[in-house]
Amino acid sequence: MNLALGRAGVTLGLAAAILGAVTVGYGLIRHRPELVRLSRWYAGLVFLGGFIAAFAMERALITRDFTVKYVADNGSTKTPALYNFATLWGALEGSIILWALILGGYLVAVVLKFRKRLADPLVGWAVFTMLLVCIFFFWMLVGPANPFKSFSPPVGFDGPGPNPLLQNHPLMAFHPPMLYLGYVGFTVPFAFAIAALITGRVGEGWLLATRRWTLIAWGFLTVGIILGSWWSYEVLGWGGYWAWDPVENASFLPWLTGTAYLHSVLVQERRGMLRVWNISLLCATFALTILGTFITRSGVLESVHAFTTSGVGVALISFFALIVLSTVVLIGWRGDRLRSPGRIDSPLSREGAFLANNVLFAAFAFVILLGTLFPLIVEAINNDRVSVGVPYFNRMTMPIGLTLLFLMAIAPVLPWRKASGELLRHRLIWPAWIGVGSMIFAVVVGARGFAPVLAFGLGGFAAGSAGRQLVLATRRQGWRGLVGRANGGMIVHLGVVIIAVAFAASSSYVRQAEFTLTPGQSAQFAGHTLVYEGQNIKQESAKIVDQVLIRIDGTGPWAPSLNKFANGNQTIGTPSVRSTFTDDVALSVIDIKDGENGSVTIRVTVQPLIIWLWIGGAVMAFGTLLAVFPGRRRNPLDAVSAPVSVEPPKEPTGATA
Amino acid sequence: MTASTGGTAARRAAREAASAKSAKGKLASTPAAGSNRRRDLDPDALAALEEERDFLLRSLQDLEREHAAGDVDDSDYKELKDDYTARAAAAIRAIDDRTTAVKSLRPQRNWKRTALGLVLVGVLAVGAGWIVFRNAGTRAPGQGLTGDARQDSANLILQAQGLTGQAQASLQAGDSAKALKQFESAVQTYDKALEISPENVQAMTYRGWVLHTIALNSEASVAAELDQQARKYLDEAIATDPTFSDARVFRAILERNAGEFAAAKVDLDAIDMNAIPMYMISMVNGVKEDVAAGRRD
Repeated sequence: MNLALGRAGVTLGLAAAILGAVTVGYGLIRHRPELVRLSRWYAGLVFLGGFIAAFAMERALITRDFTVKYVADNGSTKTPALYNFATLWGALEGSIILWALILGGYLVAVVLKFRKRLADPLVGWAVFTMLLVCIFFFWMLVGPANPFKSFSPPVGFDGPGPNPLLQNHPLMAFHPPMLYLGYVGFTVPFAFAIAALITGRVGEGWLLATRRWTLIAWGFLTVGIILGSWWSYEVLGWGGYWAWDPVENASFLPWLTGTAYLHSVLVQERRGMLRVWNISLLCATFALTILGTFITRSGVLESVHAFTTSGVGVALISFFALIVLSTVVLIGWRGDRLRSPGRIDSPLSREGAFLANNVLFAAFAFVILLGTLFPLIVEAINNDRVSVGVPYFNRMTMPIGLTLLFLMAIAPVLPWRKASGELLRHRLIWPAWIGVGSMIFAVVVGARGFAPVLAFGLGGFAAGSAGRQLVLATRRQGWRGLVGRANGGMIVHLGVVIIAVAFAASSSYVRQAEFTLTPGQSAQFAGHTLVYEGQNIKQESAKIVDQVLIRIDGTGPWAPSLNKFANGNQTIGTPSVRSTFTDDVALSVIDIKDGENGSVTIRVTVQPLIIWLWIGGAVMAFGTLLAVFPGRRRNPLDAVSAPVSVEPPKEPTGATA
Repeated sequence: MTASTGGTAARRAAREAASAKSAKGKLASTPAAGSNRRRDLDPDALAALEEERDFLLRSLQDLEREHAAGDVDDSDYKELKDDYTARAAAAIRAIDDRTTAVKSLRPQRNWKRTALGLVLVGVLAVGAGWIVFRNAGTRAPGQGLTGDARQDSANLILQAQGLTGQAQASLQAGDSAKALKQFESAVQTYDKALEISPENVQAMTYRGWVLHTIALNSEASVAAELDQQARKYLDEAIATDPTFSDARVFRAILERNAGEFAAAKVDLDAIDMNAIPMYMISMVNGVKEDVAAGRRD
């Protein structure tokens, strides 16, 4: 039943996407708007197909239908309900179902939002592009990533359940869907960018149409990345939240290019410049989401040669190549029209700052992409297995990050076109004092080292600048001074500053040690007293939990544990973290010695300001929400604030119409 | 600006062009004129004109076909054709005007600047490539492609042992340069383990052993220095845990190789043969024979 239902859903989605693309494409080429308008039905059917497939898989997981191979491979009767539900995205095939479902959802949302403009070629070509992307993902579900393969379970069969790491923290239920909502969300602006290139409408119309969609996708991606870091911190037990591993890098790359786009798009909206750059950034963002999926899902991480044996890897890398190739060809075709007549008048202007910001974000993305792909390239060329360690990423990204913080302080107060020194002095004096104060405060409370102290100072500077903008906006507009793209953006900036400061502090002043303790024994570390009280063994449905009870500075007991999963041979640890606003003490169990006076070996990691990473993430999400909320409306036909300089400036005559 | 309301895009463009002509010299320098000009240069407006042109040309083709089929009489045909032709011509003129205007306003491409930019990007890319090459190290078993989660001492020791195995394989393959790099990575990994677990006798012991292995494959002047360091780590391991046999076995081998047979015998006698793994028993027996015979390796 579940197999049949799932296969029917996938087939329906694929058929609807193919028929929709053919119908819409034919309607667009033959100028038959009535055919293009049919896209609303096809979109609905694509979504329905994805929904049926997801429903069938969830039903199979919940009912433990082991005749579905995916359930036999990843399900178990012992897996708790929440993790059983989340198993849908716990392995490759299921995660493609989630991708197809979300893509169908976005397609329906686009068709509904633009229901009155479906016959507009811009919207029509965008829907056509989205349908093509749907064809690819539904084809994956039929072919290389088919989740509805059948299996004949022997009597009494029980599956191994999901990877133990994926059933160890509730964040697993939220982090991947958020990430996918972000990844897949970038399909919408990408589709409109392609549509703009096809129709030649590469002006600002398509940007305005997709502004909010891009922000929403970016917001989801931000939340997904933050939740991923949190999950890593709470589950993996290595005492950190970001290790520059390929999976993290894969999600961070589209975030970087997406963030660059969100800034540079303002320059195009205001000044009509950077058209090629913006379209390229958006297409790169979408392409990077596919490249990221290739890196994480193709098996290339195990061996560079492994992906060729999996159909998924070949399919994803081919799709990535197709996106890059078609984008390059389309941009080349429209190159003449994309060149804008304006140019940046002064580097000391809002657009100058945005350009610098974009160069830095592009450099940031390049550095990470290079570091991530380098080991794969080396292995492909000469079979050498190399690794690019944390020092490369830290050394290369730190100066870029610090410069971005500086720009974050300067850019919001810069006017368009050009700024005078006096104006800058007036607008930056308070933020600068806040920056200096932050540095002094940091040094007084014990911060040392050039880079972290500079980061605290620049953080204060940027926070002061964002705060100043918000204060001025709320004075002028009351509560509406907090909503809209510019003001919500300032709140996002505050969130970024909080994260930057927390990142600088936690990575610069981390302290870690291991202790072997017997019951009643205590240890002193980094100003904290740890007392080992004893063990507590719990039997849960899916695992046996061996907890080590430890008091930290008299609080607790905190209970890091080793978990032995019933269906697996793997024993994995679960850390326990005591968080305060000043520092985190993370405990993880390394070893529990049987019969040796109950001694345990634990790892203790003390890092300052960790909790502010999650608070900063929440502030960013809140700021994005406010930025999506419509601010003070401007008539889209109004002239831009700064007209393009066509002739040498003369004295205005006052006659305008 | 009232002239710009209603009508087709071509007509609007024609009206705007006419009103701009009539106001020539008077409006050009005002912000509104700049705004109009920007609107003129808008690619979306150009695309709308092109769409209208295509529509009108298609309509003319349809009209010809309908007229040939006798569906449109001659007078209607003439009237419609004139209208379509005039509108298509207006659209084409407006497209030409805009295209010319865009071309005239577009800044000349500065090839020197473009070349400089390309060179700069190239230099940065090569520089970044060189930096990543310099920072890339041998991937230990279980280690990821990039980044590095902080490992506990047990994992680090496993990683270092894997690197040592790789180095020995490289030595057997005759690639001593690669082996040296892998041995150095192993030493660094043991250092990381000792950083978080300073009293870890296993890390101390095997760090010392790797140093002695490097010494065996180095020139005499370097080897002496390496052996001195190796001995320091082995001494420290035995002082921390005198019952840890591995350290005694390795120190005995080092002493035998240095010709210090009496010291080696003391260490060998202190080894509890029941507490060492099977593979080490034959090794210890071999060293015992060498020491008894006063034979270096």
